Amino acid sequence: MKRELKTTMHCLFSAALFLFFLAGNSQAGIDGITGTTFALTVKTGRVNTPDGASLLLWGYANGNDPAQYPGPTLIVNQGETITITLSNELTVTGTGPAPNVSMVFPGHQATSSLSNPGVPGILANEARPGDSVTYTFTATHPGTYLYYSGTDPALQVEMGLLGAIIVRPSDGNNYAYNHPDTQFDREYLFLLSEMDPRIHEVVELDGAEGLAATDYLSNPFPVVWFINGRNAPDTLDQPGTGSLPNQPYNSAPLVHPGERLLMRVIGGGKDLHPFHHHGNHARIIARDGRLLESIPGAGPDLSHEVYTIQSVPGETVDAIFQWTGKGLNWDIYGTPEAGPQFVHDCTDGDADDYDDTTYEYCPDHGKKFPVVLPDNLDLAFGGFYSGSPYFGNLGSLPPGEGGLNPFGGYAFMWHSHTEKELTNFDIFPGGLMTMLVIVPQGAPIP
Amino acid sequence: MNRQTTLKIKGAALLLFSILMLTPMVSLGLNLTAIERRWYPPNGAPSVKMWGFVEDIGYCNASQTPWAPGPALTGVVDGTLSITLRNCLSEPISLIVPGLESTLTPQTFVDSKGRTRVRAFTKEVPVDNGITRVTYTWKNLRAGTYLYQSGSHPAKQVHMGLYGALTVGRHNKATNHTILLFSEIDPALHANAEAATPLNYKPKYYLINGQSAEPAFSPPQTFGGRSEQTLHLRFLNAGLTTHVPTLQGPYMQIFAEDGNPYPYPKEQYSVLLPAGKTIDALWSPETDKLYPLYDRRLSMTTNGSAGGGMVQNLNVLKYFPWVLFTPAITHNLE
Repeated sequence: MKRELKTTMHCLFSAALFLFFLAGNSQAGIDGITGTTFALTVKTGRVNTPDGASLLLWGYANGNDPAQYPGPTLIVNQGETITITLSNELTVTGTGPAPNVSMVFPGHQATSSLSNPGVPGILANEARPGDSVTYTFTATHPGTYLYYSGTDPALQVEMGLLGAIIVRPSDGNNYAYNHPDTQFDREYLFLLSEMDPRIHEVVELDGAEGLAATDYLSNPFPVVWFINGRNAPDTLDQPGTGSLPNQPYNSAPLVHPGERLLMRVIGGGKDLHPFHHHGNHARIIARDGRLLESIPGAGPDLSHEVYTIQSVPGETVDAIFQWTGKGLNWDIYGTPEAGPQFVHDCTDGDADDYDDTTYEYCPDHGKKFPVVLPDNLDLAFGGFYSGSPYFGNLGSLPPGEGGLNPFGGYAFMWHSHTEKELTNFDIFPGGLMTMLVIVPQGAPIP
Repeated sequence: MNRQTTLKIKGAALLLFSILMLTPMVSLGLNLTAIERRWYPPNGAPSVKMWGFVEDIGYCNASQTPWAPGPALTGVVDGTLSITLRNCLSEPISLIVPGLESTLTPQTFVDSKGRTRVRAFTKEVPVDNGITRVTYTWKNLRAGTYLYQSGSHPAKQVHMGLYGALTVGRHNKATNHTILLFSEIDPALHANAEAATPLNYKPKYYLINGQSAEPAFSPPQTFGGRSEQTLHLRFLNAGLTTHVPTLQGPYMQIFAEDGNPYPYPKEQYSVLLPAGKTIDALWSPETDKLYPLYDRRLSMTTNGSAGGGMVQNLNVLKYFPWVLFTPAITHNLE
């Protein structure tokens, strides 16, 4: 393919996405903490939502760091014995004492240690206020998991005590499980949750005992919905941004055509959040950290494709997503009629229908763009429009338009298919939503 | 009833069920009464008026035994089940089992605008202080787990408590089974049951096998089978909302849904259980202990307060006295 990618560099990079693309490696893939021994602390913080609210957070923190929502993503390796010491530094208002806190690890056989057992609870041993508890488990199986409070979880999960666990397989870090069919090029976490601000307000003003006079816990009415602890459009902001001190993780997936994107989708809240990923179907290969396979070792032979991932509270889904433009029935890289800069080849040496380098879908090669674009004066623009319909190309835009798409990629909304959840307290758009951006080969992805 | 049994394994192309069969072909006859009872919340809140199925004793009895889901009924694979129902309630009732074969005769009424409308899925037992009895029959019973429930005004009568579990067969790898019947109670709909409408349904109590855990106390215990053996778990949702039973322990092998076996079992630690759904799973705990089972939709609340609700401990014991732990729903074979 001869098309020059330098056309993609002709743009005026506007601030947001420019920084997003070029910032440090803390944005790569899935943020988290690694190791075999973790010290987590429960403390209070604030969850900022784009409607202007600031909700009281009970969050897990990495040691002395601020509380965060969700808690630190624990990234560990298969076969390792994991030790987590949980300290309870929670403070509360109201007349009641600070509650005990705890962690449960669905899918893992966790125990509390003999040396620091905490006190018995309903689902797990707990850390009393000012005290701690130590848990251990062996990461026997690779996959995507979660942890959350096992102490009054109807309240404490709502208040923010949840997080993700990723267990790397022994096959390597670019595999989801120990099977070649689970290899991926990029991975992203989608931890889905919701909050009912009424509960947070009562707890902040009156303490948890104030909830007894309400039916908020038995009949929650969430109005803000999250991916990785943020609501759109904050999902696309940088990780670790100072305006969201307790919400360090973003959700800004980027991928090149043909790459295998591993979606790690976790139902963190109380409600089902059907996660609809525009652009293409995704192949579900695992649920609850177990490959969908007919017999052990078969690989994901029971996998299947969906366009909306059924995300169930407390369950996890792993899915492989790929995008090439196949089936659009026009050449996304442009045809000579559009200009000499669009002259290119589609070289399919391995007879898989795709260009061996760019993953252009060769059966569509040379097919003209099917419509005549209106003049710019007759168009309204969104921030993701590059000014050109062609992939990797930047066209002219009126002053002040565009700017979020410096490489001429294609953006697809990934969001809850419960469309009510695309709002921030009744303000559209927002909520459980982000944008996947397909960027041309050669465009940097952190 | 002749309890003598012979074991016969039945194989079928995709069926993972193997089946305990009674020979010769048997017909089970059971007698139930629908009657008003009360359910007592765990936190001392006022009791709630319920309608329930109980074992028939030949007349409407006014005793005040607490409400519970109807008795667990056992059918025989490929056999016939007949239930004769007595009505001690204030409105007509009927009996259906979604998923099993029966001849239904829908009942209609003429509304205030002269329209003929369906009131019940099948023939009803009239309101006459329990004098009239009606027999319902299901044939060619398929292995699986089923809800039996009222077929009259089910949006109201099922919520009032007219439901129970029916099991047919058992997975051949399992040595025991446990019924886990999820449901909810919104007391606001029960005070004046005749006028109730579930439009504004807001449950306050969340039950497994008719029990809500009590806040700050150990959860109720349910029979969890024996370690190093396999237990057949039967999940049913008689409520109006989705629940996600989550078992803290080894993974389950989920092998059937609505009485239909999967081609391959699903290995999960939790189960998506929408209203009216039944799920069958195998579970093999390795050690003797209590394994918490709870709703991951976090219906772990009691009358608005945190704690209690849908959480129980499966009690797994390798040796005696495991038999002393009676399942919350008693077995009823005539």
